[in-house]
Amino acid sequence: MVNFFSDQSLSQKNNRKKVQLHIIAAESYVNEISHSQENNETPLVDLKKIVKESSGKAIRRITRFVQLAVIGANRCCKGIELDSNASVYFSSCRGDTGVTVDLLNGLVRDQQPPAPLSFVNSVSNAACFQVAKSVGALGASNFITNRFDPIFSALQLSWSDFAMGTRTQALIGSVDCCSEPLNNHRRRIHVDTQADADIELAEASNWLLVSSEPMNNGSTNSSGNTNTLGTIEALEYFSNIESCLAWLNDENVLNRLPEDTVLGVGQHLNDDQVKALLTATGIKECFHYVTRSRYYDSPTGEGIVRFLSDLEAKSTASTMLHVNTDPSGRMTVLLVTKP
Amino acid sequence: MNPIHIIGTGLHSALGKTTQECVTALRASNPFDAETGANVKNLSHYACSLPEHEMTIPYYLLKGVSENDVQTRLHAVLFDVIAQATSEAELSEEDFETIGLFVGSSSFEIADEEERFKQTVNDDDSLALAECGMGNLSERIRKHLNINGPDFTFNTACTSSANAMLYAGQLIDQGVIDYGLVVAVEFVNETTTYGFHGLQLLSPTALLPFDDRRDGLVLGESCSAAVLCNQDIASQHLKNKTRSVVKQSSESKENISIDNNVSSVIRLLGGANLCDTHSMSITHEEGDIVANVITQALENSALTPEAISIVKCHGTATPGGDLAEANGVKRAFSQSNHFPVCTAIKPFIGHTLGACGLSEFILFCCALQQGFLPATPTIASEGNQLGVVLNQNISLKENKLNGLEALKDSAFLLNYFGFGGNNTSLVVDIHHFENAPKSTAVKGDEHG
Repeated sequence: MVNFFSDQSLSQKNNRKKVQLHIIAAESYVNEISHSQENNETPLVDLKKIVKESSGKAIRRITRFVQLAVIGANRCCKGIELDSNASVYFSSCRGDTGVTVDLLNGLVRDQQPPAPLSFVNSVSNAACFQVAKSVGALGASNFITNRFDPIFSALQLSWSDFAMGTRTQALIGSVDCCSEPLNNHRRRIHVDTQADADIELAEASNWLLVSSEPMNNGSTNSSGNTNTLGTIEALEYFSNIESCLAWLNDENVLNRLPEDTVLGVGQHLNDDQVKALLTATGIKECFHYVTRSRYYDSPTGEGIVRFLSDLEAKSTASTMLHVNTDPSGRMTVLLVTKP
Repeated sequence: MNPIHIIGTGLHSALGKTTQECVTALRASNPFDAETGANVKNLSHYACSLPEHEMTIPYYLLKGVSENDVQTRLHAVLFDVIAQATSEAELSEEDFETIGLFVGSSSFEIADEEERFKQTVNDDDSLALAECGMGNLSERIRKHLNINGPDFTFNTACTSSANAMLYAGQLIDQGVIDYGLVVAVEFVNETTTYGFHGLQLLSPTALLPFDDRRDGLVLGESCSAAVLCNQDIASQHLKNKTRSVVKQSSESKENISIDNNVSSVIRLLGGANLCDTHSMSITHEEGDIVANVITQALENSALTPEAISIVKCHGTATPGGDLAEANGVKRAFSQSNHFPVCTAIKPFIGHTLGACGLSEFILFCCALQQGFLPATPTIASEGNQLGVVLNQNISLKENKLNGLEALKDSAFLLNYFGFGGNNTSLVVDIHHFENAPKSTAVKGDEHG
């Protein structure tokens, strides 16, 4: 088991510094693409106006992937003055496929070398740069990812920097972007079989602004509140479900889960795993934020945002235990609580 | 941060196929020599035409691998380099179960994708970028080695593997993982070659950092790996290693040198990462962000500028990049009682982009461990306009570093700066174990 745990009472190593990620703002921007829209000549909505509305500036010559990142990040930080060391931790399952596809098509089909700006924009931290610049984050910027739950790896590293004491505020986000033509995009993300015909595509930009201290500086966060939205009290990683269940069975863990805790069902969990988790924890309700009727690669961030929002049916619960897995059975756990 | 120990390395670059081969070649290498300098890469088989005089460029290609053998690069070279590092670290099967994997690259497997797409482009159902997961390379490595620990992929341009090192060290220091395997990958590909050509950043001749004649960078490819751990594990590892050397010595009845690689270890002391929002392709020429990241790296390592005796510069030899770094380094050390010796690795292996973090780290640190400092005679010598002089002599004594003894109380700074305003500095030292057996050698190189 690998511990990113915030609370020393639950940590197995005594030298673990107590760290909590207080979520002071959150934003989930999701573009759903209906089937009828998908069949249009230009199915993807133009984002330039939305970029300008959310950032206050017309940022030119950026790709759609970067536009999505800027929209989500700026909406998240709206009305909040960032700390001087605020850092950006950005992730994506597949990065900017659109610009890379254009480069490859230009090179191989058209035998044209890449335009300088296209090449520079193909670097993943082009998005980090534009986000940091547009929100005024003057700390570090990192593009980090893993194949199956990108935002979890970004959360892990921001936790690490908080524990080091080098950062007190972090803007953590993940972006999934579609590229045209959409039938090719379906092939790339493997949502192109007969069984997938009813699934609508989506693209998303999910962001959390977290702080090492709860919010009390009088600012208003993106929900119009002056309070912390919630706290990530634990980030846990396990190499298999057995060790995850053993940890969940620990008395100290179970004592931390109030009656109204919901199980946040990560994208890759199957029914058997959900059942085993409910049995181990005694949790009665699941929070299924991943809808089967639409798809984008990495919705964990959306799950956290929706849990914290007042609009979500399951959001009356005070605590969410979010669990996800990957094809080799590794598990990630997030414990999110509301104030 | 508590010191993090590097107990295994692997490297394949233009200098050689293993770490030791590369370090030995580094000592003897002359960047201007046709034998040991850059290769000449002909772009005639590439997809796009360029003016004739631009169809050959200097490029530091991997030693001993055919330029066109994409598959060998991606799989055989990568896994061989990882095997070098993990076997030196003597990792067990249980260690692989929980080791953290940290991959840093700019271009990942794009060379493979270019090749595949070229072969299928005329098919009815051809598709560019058929496989497109940012974490795919990490997954490949995990499956190959049966790694079940957490994995992280860093894509921050030229600071990718430097950031991978930094976070691997942090997570070890915080007790999250016991071991970290850092892997850095950068292979030649058309997208990158044409991309830098289009930005007019490539030199037609040679890579001359900080030199008044500098006119751009020379690309290179490299693949490297390192195993990191905390002090307790490193001490045990040293004991085991020393025991086997002593045993070997008594069995062969010869006095075998217990060289500096057994009695000393490279340690990562700390580092920092900052974003400069001045420009996508270059950090601010005034160098204030460079100075800030150096200062923060030192603070994170609990050191003052006086502790640094050598700086491994990023040194891309681009007009603006070197200017920013020169200004930043001068600013960071302006209050110090001495200006550190400056060196650069890119004249020997080229600019290996996302892999330069770890590849240059290994070459620089192993060179010091073996008692010399990479030298670039006639490049950036005294009196150049930027005021940063690169060391002209491999001898530590000639650089007023008084040999390995002086280095024992010293630390070293390594700079890396990348597109997207990403700036990273790492701080390292060479730690000598006090209770290590003294050399009884007749064999072995003379050091210091």
